[in-house]
Amino acid sequence: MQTRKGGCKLFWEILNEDLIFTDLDVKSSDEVFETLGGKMEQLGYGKDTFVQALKDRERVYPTAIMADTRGIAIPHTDVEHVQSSAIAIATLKNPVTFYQMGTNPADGVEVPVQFVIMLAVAGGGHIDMLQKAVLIIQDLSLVDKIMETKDAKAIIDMIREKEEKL
Amino acid sequence: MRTYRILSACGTGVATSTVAAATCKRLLEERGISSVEVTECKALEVVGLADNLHPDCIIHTAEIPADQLTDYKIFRAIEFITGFGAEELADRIAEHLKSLD
Repeated sequence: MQTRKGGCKLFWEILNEDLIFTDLDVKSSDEVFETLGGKMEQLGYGKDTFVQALKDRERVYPTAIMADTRGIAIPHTDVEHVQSSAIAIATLKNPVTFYQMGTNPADGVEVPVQFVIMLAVAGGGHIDMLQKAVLIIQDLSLVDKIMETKDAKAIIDMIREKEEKL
Repeated sequence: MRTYRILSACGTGVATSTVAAATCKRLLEERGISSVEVTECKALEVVGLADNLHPDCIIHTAEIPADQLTDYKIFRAIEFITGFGAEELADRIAEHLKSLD
């Protein structure tokens, strides 16, 4: 049995196959926001301002990081655009340009991103969920395994296995 | 030992700054600095909050107006999100905090 502190759900339990995109064929970060964020809006996790808010925020506070040689983006936005918390994951067919977290996009520190974890965060108290997302990013062998698969359910299983070992 | 105050800023004040804050606390504890209060905030709020809280340092995962925060030691904390270089960054922050006493 899994232990749950304070009723907090495990990361894999809130993953939804409809929010996992493999080999996504997109040309820009905006298309990533429209596809993943649009699905979140459609499923009722994001309010109808969610996609635009993701785009607006990314232009001011970019969310890409280089984890060793892998470009990963963790787009998210302010709580007022979120209905309820959710996570979307995408592996991209071709790298898409994002900008380095902590920099101003005007400075042009580009990151070629091929792995995206989008977070819809409804209010505080979701630190467990966020830390789990970071644990995935920090496990590069897991990132590589996820990149290689085309099956959403298999990705959820991999993340569950990872969590069961924690 | 006194309580150190750290301000952690990100774009939204609830996402990456929270993760950075938790990682920072854990790594400082491993370095014998257990009494740390971390306040998370939006990058837009950081100047005003710094003036109120007078933190011992500021960590950030979003760009902040460093020119308005010259009284404070600032660390860019992307390492606490990626994990790469996190130990080295924690060493630098610990060294800074210990140098204040």
